[in-house]
Amino acid sequence: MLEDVGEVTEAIPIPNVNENVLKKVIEWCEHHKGDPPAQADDDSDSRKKSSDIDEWDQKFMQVDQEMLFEIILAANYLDIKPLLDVGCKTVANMIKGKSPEEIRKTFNIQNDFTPDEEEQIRRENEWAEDR
Amino acid sequence: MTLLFFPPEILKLIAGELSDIDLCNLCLVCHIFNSVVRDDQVVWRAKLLSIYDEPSSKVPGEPYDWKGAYQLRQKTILRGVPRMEFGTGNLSEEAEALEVIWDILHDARGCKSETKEITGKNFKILNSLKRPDRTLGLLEGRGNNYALVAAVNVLMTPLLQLPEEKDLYNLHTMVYSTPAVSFDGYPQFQVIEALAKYFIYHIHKDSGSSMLYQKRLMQPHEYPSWWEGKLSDYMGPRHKIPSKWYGAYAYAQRNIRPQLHDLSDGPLVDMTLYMTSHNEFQGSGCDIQTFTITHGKISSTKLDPTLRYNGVWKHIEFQKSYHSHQWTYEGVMLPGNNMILGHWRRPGTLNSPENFRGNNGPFVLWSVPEGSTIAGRDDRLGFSR
Repeated sequence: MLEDVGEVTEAIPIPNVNENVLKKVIEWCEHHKGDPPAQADDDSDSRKKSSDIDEWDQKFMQVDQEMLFEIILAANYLDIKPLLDVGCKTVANMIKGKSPEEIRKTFNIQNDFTPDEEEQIRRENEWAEDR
Repeated sequence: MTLLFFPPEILKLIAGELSDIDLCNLCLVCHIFNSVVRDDQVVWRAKLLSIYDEPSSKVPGEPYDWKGAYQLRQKTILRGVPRMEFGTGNLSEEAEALEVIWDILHDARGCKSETKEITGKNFKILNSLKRPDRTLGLLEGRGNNYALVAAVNVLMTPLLQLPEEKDLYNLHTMVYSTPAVSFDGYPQFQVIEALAKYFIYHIHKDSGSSMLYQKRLMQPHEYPSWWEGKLSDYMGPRHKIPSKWYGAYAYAQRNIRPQLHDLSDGPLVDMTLYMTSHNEFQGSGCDIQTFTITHGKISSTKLDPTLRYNGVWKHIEFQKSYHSHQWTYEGVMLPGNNMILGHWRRPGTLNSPENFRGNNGPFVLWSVPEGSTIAGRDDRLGFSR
């Protein structure tokens, strides 16, 4: 973002991030300011798996869903990739091992499929089933 | 605020963290999740590249079906192969599995290291398919797909397991009685596979009836190993072959059934080749005596078991000349240009089965790093005479 606006002396408005969320984001950045730069290659083996969220980050992400989602959106808006990564992994961990109905309950989502549509998707998913 | 209001790019990042079954469950939650994941090639590309090496069958500039490729590989490799017996190699699901394994082999990025540690993603997958209860390696098959099964086994040579004693007689019969290359230049995959297993047996069995002696002359980084880069790197009309080779061979004496000790007293071959044109080479080397290599020819074989990678199995032929004796060597260079398996014979005996049987034997040559030499390591060898 700073690269986009160049050198300025005036305050930069961040309309999409509220104060509480920005405080959390700054807290995260303060804690991680000494981290080595992340690898650019997304496809490398070195990319950590979802379960590899460090302990501090796990505690940091123990917030209500509203705040978790706001942090993820703020990280995306402010282009803080490592924080976005931790946020997405946290949500992924909330999905893992759950049935579609359990995922709906977890995130308060309505099932908008007709039975036929659902059946069609189940057929398309057969490649992943244990036979 | 709900997850449904997330921009698609963030939902794709989340989807990329999920296992196959979790991803499928996510698709079943609602239309939005299904539409984000279902046909998004970015998600499926990330999934495939997180597990497999980059597919070489992609055509630059043309769309690649990442989803289809990923789902077929996962269905076949993780969920199909472990349950397959490969009794014939002919069932449709077995044939499909062989094609997928073949593709994965062609994409596998080989890595030569002193420890022979397997580092590539595809090699890790292929290594995981190894079965402890299999006696002769990854897969066994017969019938129409045998050539493909054999070709897969040959490419998997470094992972092949030792044959059991009960299988050795058939193995030796094939190794000693059938040329690796037929009269019209076609590779005989079953024979090449037998040769690979034969030498694997003799290289790895640490006993008197093995290549233990030759092995002791080598440094670990000089052992037969994987190719470097991808097999697709070796395709094309020009045949650039490594210059430095080590090797071993055995004798089949007339009317004597080959015994397991054939290799126990054999020399380690040290050979240097250089190309004289795009498909001809000469060279020199040493085993029991110094020798020269003449009339070396390298050509693309006409057959590939899947007909999709023509030219990667190369036919090799050359004359090996000592001071007073000359021998013809003929075999197949494996697709990674890292190993040659075949037979040596007295010149002019190929069309005479009786003579062939009495004056021939199997050989293996494998590429070693430039500058390697066994000079001074074996006082029986021509180098020090």
